[in-house]
Amino acid sequence: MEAPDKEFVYLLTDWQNRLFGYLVTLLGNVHDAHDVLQETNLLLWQKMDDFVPDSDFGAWARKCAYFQALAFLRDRKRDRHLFDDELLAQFADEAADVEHESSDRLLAMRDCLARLPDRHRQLIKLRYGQKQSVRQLAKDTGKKESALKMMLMRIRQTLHSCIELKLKETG
Amino acid sequence: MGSGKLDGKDYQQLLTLIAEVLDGTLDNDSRETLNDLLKTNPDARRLYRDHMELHARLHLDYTGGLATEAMPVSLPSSATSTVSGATVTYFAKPWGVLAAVLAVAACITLIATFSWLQQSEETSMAGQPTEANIESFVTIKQVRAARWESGKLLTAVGARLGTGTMRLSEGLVTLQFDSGAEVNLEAPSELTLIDAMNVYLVKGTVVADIPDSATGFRVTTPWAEVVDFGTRFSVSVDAETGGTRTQVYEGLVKVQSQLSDEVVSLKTGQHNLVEKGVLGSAQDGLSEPAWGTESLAASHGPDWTILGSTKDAYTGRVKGHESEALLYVKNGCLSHKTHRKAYLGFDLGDIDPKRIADAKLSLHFAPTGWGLASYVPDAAFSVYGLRSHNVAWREDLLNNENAPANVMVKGAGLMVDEVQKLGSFVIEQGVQQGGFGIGGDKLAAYLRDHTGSAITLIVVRDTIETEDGGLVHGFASRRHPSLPAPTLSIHLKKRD
Repeated sequence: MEAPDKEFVYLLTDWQNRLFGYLVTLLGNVHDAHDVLQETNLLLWQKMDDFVPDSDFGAWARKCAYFQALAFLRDRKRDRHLFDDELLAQFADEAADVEHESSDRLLAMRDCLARLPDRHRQLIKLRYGQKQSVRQLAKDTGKKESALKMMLMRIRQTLHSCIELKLKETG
Repeated sequence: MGSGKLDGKDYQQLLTLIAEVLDGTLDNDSRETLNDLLKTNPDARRLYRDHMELHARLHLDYTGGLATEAMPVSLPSSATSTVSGATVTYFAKPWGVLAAVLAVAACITLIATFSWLQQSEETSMAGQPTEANIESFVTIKQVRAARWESGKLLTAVGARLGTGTMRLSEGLVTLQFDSGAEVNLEAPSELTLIDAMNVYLVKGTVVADIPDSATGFRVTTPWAEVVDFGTRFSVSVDAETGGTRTQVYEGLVKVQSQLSDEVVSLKTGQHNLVEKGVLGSAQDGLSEPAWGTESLAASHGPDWTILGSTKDAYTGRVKGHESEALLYVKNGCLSHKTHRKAYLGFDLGDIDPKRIADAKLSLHFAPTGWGLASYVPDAAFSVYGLRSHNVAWREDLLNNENAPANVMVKGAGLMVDEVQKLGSFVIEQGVQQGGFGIGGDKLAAYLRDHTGSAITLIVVRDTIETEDGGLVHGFASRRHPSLPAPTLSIHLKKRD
């Protein structure tokens, strides 16, 4: 196999986060998204020669990710899926509308995270940094699971509002 | 549920469903609801996608995840076996700068595997929903003229509640928390009960009375956190903007913006505003024009002139029974003292009468706490204008005897030659809260005839109570701490 094209490598690297976010949207959890991203990367790698330089890498990669996600769900048909095929197709159709904002969103999110009250940032850190489940967090903090869920939901909502506001201000 | 915008109820439901997806606790019914909501509403899909991508980004940012700068350029040896044969060949030769890039690229699949191995309990869809938490910490103490929107919580007096969201479209509900905190929820509002020391106010107003046992009681809103230090205070959240107004009637509270660690302390008689993450400083006074008036101006557009009452009072005040914040209106069946009428003064200034195209009078009703709604059927109210210009009366001295055009003996009667009827409205039985008022040609014509002067409008209740002790209606005076004052909105045509 020949050495990969430099542009291809950069693009693949550049698109990792966005593909991951896209797969989390389709599959509903980071665990499955990781699995499918791995399979998608292998597929993209194998089909590297099909990629036409200067064409829309994102659209191509997303399409591969979408089909890998469908294949993944088919293989796991015993389990109930989060979405049916119709809704998955709707998400796939609409994905192109938002991608360009991705890096702006990341920066906005970091800025908004920095503005959260310490207590809230700490909770986000425990949930995401320590990868603690809500149940584990409840045990560690002595708070009720339902209360923590509600708090996390509200913090995410605040972050989302803050990010939207920032994008609007800078956009 | 339609294909249009996401309304408030759907928005909250969607947020809850998203949280369940992220926590791995979505059950079959919720899954179906989520699918329906997302399929039919593009705004719902957008919000869902934003939240899932936020979740993904948080996950990556905190785990060092897939971010390029966090990727190792050397291959983790323990993971070599997971790499396909073809990929491994790229690591066989040192390629200088490009090699590092390639290593990064090839590592992507490995990192994905690694992250997965290190990952703990991110529950997948196949995971078991956690047990519902049914622990309760709130009792509904009192319910007045309440009308509820759908919500999962019980709504009867004496009901015990746990974590959940209540949506009140009309009326007033008093909640007694096990911590000792007593919270009045005023419609229209939406409140999430978190635990005995925490609530989240999505929109509307709460008035909290906090004893020592509940010091530290916290009201969180979309933009702010209000923490109590033993006091009485109110928090109002604008449904559109999430802007948060906090007023302290007694004691001390601390207000913090959700987006910073800055804190403002509010003492008795002070208020502040938090909007779009900006923490407003403490301001003295509780009766400045409420934002209800401002949003009225905003919703009406720049061609509208908005006038608050310059004086207002009601007749038939009974000692120990009166209110400064509300103007009482009643038509009793026995005592002439209970024939309460509200008098509103507005200064029209020098508006060009030819420019007045339309006008509205807005009154914000709120429960007075007096009388039984059962004894007053659907209630008709009439608004009259004094024919004479600049009639003098004092808001601190108004009574049955000196009130202009007042007829004491006949219920809602007024001296017909001195007033003209401008319009009427009806409030359904049991409803005590919400915006009511009049508009139209008669009001606009009256204003045209009276430009340049101070006018007096009189609000009476035509409907008589069916038994003694019937409900006293009331609407906000210009002294009300949170509700808008009686407001005249005048639509002005463009100058010729």
